[in-house]
Amino acid sequence: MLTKEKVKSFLVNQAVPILFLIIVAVGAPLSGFSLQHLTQEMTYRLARDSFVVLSLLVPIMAGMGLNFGIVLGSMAGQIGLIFITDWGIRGIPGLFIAAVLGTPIAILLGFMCGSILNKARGKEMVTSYILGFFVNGLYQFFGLFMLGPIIPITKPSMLISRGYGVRNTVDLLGVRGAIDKLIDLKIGGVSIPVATFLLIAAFCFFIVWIRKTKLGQDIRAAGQDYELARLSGIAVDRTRIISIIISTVLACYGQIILLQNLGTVNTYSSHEMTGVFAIAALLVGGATVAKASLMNVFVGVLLFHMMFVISPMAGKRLIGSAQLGEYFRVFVSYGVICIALIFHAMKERARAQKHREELMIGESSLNHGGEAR
Amino acid sequence: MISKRTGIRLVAVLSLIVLCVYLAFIGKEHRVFFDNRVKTIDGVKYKSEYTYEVAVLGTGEEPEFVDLDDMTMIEAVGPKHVIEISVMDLDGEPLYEISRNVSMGFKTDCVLYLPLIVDTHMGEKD
Repeated sequence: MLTKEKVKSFLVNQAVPILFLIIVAVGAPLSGFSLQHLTQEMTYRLARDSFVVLSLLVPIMAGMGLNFGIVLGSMAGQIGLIFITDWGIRGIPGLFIAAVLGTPIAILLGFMCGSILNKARGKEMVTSYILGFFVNGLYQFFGLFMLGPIIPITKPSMLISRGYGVRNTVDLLGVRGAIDKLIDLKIGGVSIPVATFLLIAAFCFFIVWIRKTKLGQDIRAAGQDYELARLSGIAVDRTRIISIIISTVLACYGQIILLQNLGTVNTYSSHEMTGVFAIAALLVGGATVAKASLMNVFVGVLLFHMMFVISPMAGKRLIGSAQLGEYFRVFVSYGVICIALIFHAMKERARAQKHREELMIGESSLNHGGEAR
Repeated sequence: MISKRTGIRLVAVLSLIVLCVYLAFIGKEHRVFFDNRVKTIDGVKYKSEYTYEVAVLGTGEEPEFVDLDDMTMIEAVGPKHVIEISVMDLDGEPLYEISRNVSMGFKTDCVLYLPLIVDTHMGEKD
């Protein structure tokens, strides 16, 4: 039965998606887009971005918060795509080889990230965020100085005019839409990339399946209470590293899916916003730093990207400037991340305070007991 | 001695490498150049006397016209291709068609010298 308390709790917990739903409901008619156009846009964006957002779930399960380190996986995916473009391997074979090339790099980066995060326990999010910048430096060094003179690039058109370093933009014409167009279903004028959705569905089954395995149970135990899990004999640090590796590798595949949809790689910037976009989408879907579900992913991607589509046009029609609409979207979307992090910090502080009070009560009752004896 | 677990992992990695090589083989993009310029090959001078319409079957692209002393390029994916060459006189009237199978392997570029192909075709007919 629905009680007042339950409704209040639901509204408080789902405040962010409800707020976004209201904005979208108001903004969609104002934008003037047809329902078919919006459905098509959302279908494409859901297919394009869901995989990357899904890769955030495992570290949350492991109690490591929002893994800003998925940009490391994105970089690995991009390296794979740069190589297959240079070698001229097209279509699904090209994407498969890009994924195979990216996997060991993602595993290595994931292992490094996981090991560092274990040393910075309790500060995983900020550490992974800064780690992204550090590895971005290495990636830029790799792209600007190693590709060409050390690792050969056969297509001169991919190189900067000085003769080494990959250009800022790499065209992925050979693999553009390779997965999306593999099984293209049209329903009511809306094109549905079935193969991409099948991959996303496989990923969802993987998430559900891994929760039931021994590793999944260990990940959840480590997420609930680090010390208790360690005392129970679980190799918690190892489990946390594995969860970050899984997340990084899946982010690598997610980036490949995303870029094959876009058809172009911005060599030095495509990966930069991946982490922030994915995390914002997940939080908009109602997830928190400590808890996220598959539903949060899809609701989040839909609402977050609906804002992308409608805000410029709604802003233009409402205020006469598309730029203002875009500013509004940026303000609301990233404000959500800020609010979610503040809520998390407040909850953590309250929990720590409650824990301290319980300990103090326990100590004083022991002291009183001792005096009485 | 390699343990069973390591052995399985090695086999898995090797299988993946073999699969990747196979995929690279079937997914490799090639540039097929059709050359219709005057050229000397093995001491024999070949003149361009005809114009051509060339196509690589399976690419889904329209045939390309190759004028006298000109060349064109068609991109194709895969190791083997069937090439159709329509030989035309200088007024653009089709004379006859030649079909050739071309194996590309891992090569990126392939140059087909049209006067030589025509010469070989006429030799085969004689």
